[in-house]
Parts: sequence; C-alpha cells; structure tokens
Amino acid sequence: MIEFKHVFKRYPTGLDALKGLSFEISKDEMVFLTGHSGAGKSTLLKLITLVERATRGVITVNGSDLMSLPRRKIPFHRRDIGVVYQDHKLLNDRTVFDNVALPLIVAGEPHRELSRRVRAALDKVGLLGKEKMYPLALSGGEQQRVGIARAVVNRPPILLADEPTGNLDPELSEEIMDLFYMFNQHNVTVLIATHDLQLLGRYGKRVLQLYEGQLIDGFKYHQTA
Amino acid sequence: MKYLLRHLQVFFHTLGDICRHPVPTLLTVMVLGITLSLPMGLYLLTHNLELVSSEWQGKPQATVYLKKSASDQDVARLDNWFSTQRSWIENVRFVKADEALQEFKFLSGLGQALDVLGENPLPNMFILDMPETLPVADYQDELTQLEQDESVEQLKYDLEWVQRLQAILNLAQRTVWMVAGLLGIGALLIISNTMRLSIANKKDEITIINRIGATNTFIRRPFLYTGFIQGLLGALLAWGLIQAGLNWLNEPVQRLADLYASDYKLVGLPMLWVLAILLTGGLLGWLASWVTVSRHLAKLYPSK
Repeated sequence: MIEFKHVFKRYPTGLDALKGLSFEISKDEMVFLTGHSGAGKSTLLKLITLVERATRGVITVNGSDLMSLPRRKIPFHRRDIGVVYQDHKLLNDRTVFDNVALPLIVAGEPHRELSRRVRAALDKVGLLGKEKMYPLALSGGEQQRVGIARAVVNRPPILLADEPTGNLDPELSEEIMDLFYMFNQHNVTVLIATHDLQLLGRYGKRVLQLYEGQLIDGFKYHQTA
Repeated sequence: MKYLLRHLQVFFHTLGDICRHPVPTLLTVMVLGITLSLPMGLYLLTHNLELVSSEWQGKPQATVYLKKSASDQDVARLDNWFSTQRSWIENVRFVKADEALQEFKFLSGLGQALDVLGENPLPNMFILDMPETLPVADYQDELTQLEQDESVEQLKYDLEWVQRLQAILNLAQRTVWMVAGLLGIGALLIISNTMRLSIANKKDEITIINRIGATNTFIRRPFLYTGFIQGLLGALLAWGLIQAGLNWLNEPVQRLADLYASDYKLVGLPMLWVLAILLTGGLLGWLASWVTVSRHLAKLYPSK
C-alpha cells in the first residue's frame, strides 16, 4: 500500500531529513512510526500526502508513483488518505458537522449523502449529537475525535496520524488509539507517528523506528496485556 | 446543470458569509468605493470641462475692413484670393456695409441716432475664421500681405490669447487625465492589497482545505465570488458618492450658468457607463482575488 525505496529528502535549507529510507506497508496493516523529534517522522508523512516531494528515490502509495504524479492530480491523491493531526486543524468558525462534512463537499459528494455519512463517522468516534457545536466548545479529546471523523468520513483506504495523542492525557490517548485500531480492523491501512512507546506495546503491531533520517530496524512489540 | 447548481450554492453561501460578518466586508467596500470614486469623479470633471470649452466658440477670428473706395471688383478679387488660402482660413464671411449697419442698429439700440448721419459710416468687411490649432506664426506673412493690400483699410485680429487659452485648457485636461490614470492604478493596488489582507485572515482555512484534497478551483471559487461581490458593491458606492457630489455641486453651477446667461448643465454618468463601471468593479475584485489566492495556493504545493 505504501512503499518507499531509497528515499532521500533534503530541504532547501540544506537539512537532510531522510537519508535513503526503504520500507513497505502492506494493505490493511497497522504500523507505528517512532523516533525522537527531528528524526524525520513528519517529513515521512508529508511525503506520503505530497505536502513535500522527495529529493530522490521511489515512493508508491495506493498504486500511484508519487515521484511522477503531476501537481493537478495531488488533490485527488489526498482524498484517498485521511490525516489526523496533533493540533486537530479544525475550522473553528464552523460547526462539528461542517468540519466533518468538508472532505465530502470537497470531493463533490451529492448533498443528500452528506448527512448520513457525517452521522456515521461521528457515531464511530462517539460524538453523535454534537454536530451543531463549535470545536472550541469541545474538550481536547473530543476535538481530536472530530479530526478523526473528518479523516475517515469519505472512507479512505489509508489513514495517517501525526502524534494524534501528543496533547492528551494517557487515558484519552488510549481511547484515541483504540479508535485507530478499530478502523484498522475495518480494512484501513493505518500509519501512526508517535513517541508514546508505552501505548504501542498494547497493540502488537510493527514499529518503524527512525533515527536521524534512517530506519534503525523494523521490530515488533509483543502484546503484553 | 450540476455544475451550475454548485456555483449557485457557493454564491449563496458567500452571500450568507457576508451577511454573517458584515463589518470586514463593509470596510473593504468603503475602501473600494472611495478609491474608485476618485478617478471616476475626475473623469467626469474633464468630461464636463470638455463640454464647457466646446460650447464656447473660441475660434481665432480676423476682421478685414475695406476702404470706402474699394469697388465690387476689389471685393471679388479678395474673395478669390481667400478661396486659395484654405490652409489657414476655415471660413470666410462677407458683410456688406448696409448689413453691418443694420446689425449695429439692432445691437446698439442707436437706430434713430444713426439715421441722422445720412451716410453709412461703416465699411464693407470680411470676417475670417482660422483653425484654432494652427499657430499664428504659420500665417503671419499672409496677414501682413493682406494688411498692405490697396483696398484694405484696416486688419483687426486678436488671435494669440485665444490660442493661449486653448493651450491652457488642453494642459489642464491632460493633467486631469494623468491624475485620474494614477488614481486608477492606485485603486487597483488598493483593491489587491485589501483582498490580500482578507485572504491572509483565511490562510489556515485555505491550507486545511487544501490538505483535505480540494482542487485549486474549489478553493478559489468562494474567494472569487467574495471579490466580485465586494468589487461590485464598491463600484456601486463609488457611483453613489459621485451622484451625491453632482447633486451637491449642481445648484452653484446652475447659478453660475444663469449669471453667464448660459443653459449649461452638469452632466452625470450615462447609464451605459454606470453599467460598465459596476462590471469593472466586480471584475477588478474578481481579478485581485484570483491573483492573491493563486499566489497563496502556489506556496502550498511542494517543490523538489
């Protein structure tokens, strides 16, 4: 589903964020991405959504060769990838409903479908009944759930998350992580960047560990609980 | 059909947005209205000036008084000569002494007193019209030659001041055009800058929608509508300001015109012009939004 081959990324400032990265994530897999800050986690996610372009190497996502994907096709590529951010990136002047409906509107979904699908997404994250509220009236955990509902509302095959629990306390973090696990059970390929090592142990999934732009080695935490 | 429906949706959504947050739009519209009204007002001023100066018959003229002794043959000879001088004479009018006397009687009100004279004191004369654009120097020689003609008593002309006035008017007009042009460019810059500011406030929103997979066309659309509506309202305000200004000036202008026994009236903007201005305002807003949003969007896409 996601494949990197000898990927290098050098920023215009001269910073080498990724140095010859190779890995593969197969369909329906759930993978964690860890590493100290500045190790290249965010860069890796940005390459997958084409917020940044790789300097060298080959990246294939969902069957498309990202190295040669023309700019006008980028929006359509992004519609196949749901992204959850640490700071939610919600539009605070729009209701929960409007925020979650945004990917559908952007993709030109017919109007009558909107309500049903937004409700379904909100139901999955446990926020049904809060459609009319504004994001700032919600708690941090709830805002993150809105972000997740928005990421999955158009049922993308791939779900990415960049430190989704970074601002939450352990209990809420667990709930959020469980949500991702649940989506993975429903055949969504999930890649989560996190430095919350304690949390990943629970799921027994593959972990990619980045160190200064390179992978140390893929290893697997065994389920402890 | 679906495409049209989506456009309508965005249009009404934009209208709704403006109604929900009227203050920023109001400020933008006022800035646009005032900046647009300056070049428009100046244009109207030149237009009115043009009308005044064209109504006023300020052509250079020369009067050729003939000697009493000049015969009909002399008159015919001169008339012939004038007809060969078309390069500097636009029009020739021969006024017989009798007609001149009649006219003088009529205009001066000295009718009966003049009858006492018995003999007509006025000579026959030619009145020559010269083109206003031709410098006097170009036909000075011909005038001198005419003055020395044996049948010419006197040649009266006063041309220079007319031409000077014309030159001053031309200069004034050109200056106003220049200022109006600069103000027009200024209006463009101010509109772009205002749009840039209003888009700067929405940068985060644009970025988020871009990350979700919106095409540039989709992101641009509401901004283009906002720009168009604001530009249109701005132009409407400018028109209102100018109309109010005209009304305000109309009374003193009328009084002045009365004093000069003129039926001159201030001219407002013709309807076609109003339409053109409204459309231009809308298009300017549209264009300014397009440029600013596109510039911002270009930054959102990666480079190698």
